[in-house]
Amino acid sequence: MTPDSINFAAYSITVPILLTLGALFCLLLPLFIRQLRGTQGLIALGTVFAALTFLRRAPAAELSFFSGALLLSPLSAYLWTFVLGVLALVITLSLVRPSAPEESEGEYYFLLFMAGIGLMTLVAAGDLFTAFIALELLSLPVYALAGIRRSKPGLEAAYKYFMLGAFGSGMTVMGIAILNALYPALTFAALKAGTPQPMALAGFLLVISGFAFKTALVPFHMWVPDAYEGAPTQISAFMGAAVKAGGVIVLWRLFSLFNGGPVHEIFWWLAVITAVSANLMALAQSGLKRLLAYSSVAHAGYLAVAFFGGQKGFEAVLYYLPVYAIATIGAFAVALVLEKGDKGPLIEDLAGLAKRRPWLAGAMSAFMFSLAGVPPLAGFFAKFYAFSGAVNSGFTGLVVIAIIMSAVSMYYYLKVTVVMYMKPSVGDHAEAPAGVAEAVIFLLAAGVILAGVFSRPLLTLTTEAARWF
Amino acid sequence: MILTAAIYFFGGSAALATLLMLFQRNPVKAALLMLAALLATAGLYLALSAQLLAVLQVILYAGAIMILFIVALTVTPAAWRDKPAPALIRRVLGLAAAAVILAELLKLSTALKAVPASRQFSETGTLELARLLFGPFVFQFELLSLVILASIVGAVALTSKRRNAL
Repeated sequence: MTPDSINFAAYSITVPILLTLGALFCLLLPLFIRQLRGTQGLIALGTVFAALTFLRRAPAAELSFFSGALLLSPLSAYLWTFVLGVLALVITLSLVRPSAPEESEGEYYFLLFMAGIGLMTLVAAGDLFTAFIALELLSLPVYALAGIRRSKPGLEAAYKYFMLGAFGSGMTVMGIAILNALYPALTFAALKAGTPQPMALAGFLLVISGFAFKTALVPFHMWVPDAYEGAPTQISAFMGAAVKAGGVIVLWRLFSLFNGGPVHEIFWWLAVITAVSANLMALAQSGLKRLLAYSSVAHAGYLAVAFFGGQKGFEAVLYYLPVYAIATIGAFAVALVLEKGDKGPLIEDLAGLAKRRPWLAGAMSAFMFSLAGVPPLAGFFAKFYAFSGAVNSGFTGLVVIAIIMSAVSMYYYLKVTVVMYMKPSVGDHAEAPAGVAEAVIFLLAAGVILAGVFSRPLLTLTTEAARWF
Repeated sequence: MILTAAIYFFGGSAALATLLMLFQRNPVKAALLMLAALLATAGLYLALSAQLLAVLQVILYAGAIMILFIVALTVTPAAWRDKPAPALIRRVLGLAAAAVILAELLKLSTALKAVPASRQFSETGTLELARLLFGPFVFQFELLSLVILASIVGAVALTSKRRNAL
């Protein structure tokens, strides 16, 4: 190991440790020091920014730690930056609009950090054991966060998410048990080198369906609409942006173990069914958060299409994840600004927004167009790279279906914009003065535009990161 | 000699406790009898020098799962109501299932008698397990402690009453 890589590893390992400490501070300090009560959000935000300073440019090598459990590479550095960015955004949004009841603020940030650490470990996991434990560390806090308000829809969301999530975890663990019986070392490298056997296929399929639950690929998406709708809006944004990213990375690792064969066929079908049914179901939604939930399922399908592009496809996935995260967090932030009480806004509630708050409406249209994939916004390039990789590998039929469904999705994304600009507003709206939440929304809207127009720097990073998966 | 006696003692008490549990109509008493059966099984493992298995039996079954049973029983009053006796057909079916399992067990134990106990078998691997947990799997092991901590905090956050005056 060169001094360079030792340096990088030391800095990298500090990040999750720092997050753990910050989480414990948020949970415990306000219990002992009365003056700190109510400042948990600031402590959390400070911790994330402190952690961001520990991120270093990775040397071009893959460093393996804890007997191969943790792989640090440019890929992990890229994804950890992504995770910290999402955490910072979600925490900022929770700071301006508290999503947890005042007395469980400490628990809220603690659980958010735990999910963040789980996600970071998940994307850097070198074997299936670690990936499974990291997946649990990611999922369990999010189940609780979905119901942190203890309101009826929140608890229902948490309950459904937990039940189906536990079912998915059960399948994963069953698959891992089968694989472990066949391949004693469960590292991804060993799995790739292992001789294929019919029993192993059963194991892989179980593991894949478990992770497909987290990624919300149809038919493993049943929890998504209720969980997104019932959870606090910030947590819905976190689920859409971050939890999905973790599942996608592990699914990609599993996908790339194979060279064609039944597993790829199953991914083909998953991608097609997801893209078709999610977009069709989204057409009928009237709640904004439900619409975004189905849109998140549809994007999981596009990501699965990108898998078929091989190395280029993985670069596209790495570009897609932050671009999708920016647009979806932005859209959820708009929902957050407009929501009253615990209920998310209906699409109808956006009527006349262009008159009342033109900037907010403009930002929302940017998010919608980016999600729909309209040039020159980032979402267009993300879809373009994702689909072109698959076309180059000869999966034209798959891409044609995805593009048709993408055109269908234009309808419901445009519907939001049409309602904002064409419909007069109903009833009177007490306008809150613009604050930090609006500032975050404009920042994200700028991100959606800039990441599209100036995509070169981000693409250079993804190319570098994609080499080290 | 003393080992044989212990095996018969624990085995006998496990069988007796299970039988008593089956004919017990009070759910809490039945749960306690089941606890006795689980503990007797743990004793049986100990007599067979499977210490790790015995400890796990006590921690997991007697400790965690039984406590869950008893807590669930105490918070669901419906469980206390005396249920009507099941129909004849269900009783016959249940007895038939029990007979099949008993026959299988007898078959298996006669087959096992022919297998000589190997030296390796008597070493329970507690040491190896510990070496693995704190050696190659130390990262996963520590990660699990975070998982448990997070689930405890999550459970408390979801179920605690609103504490206005802390």
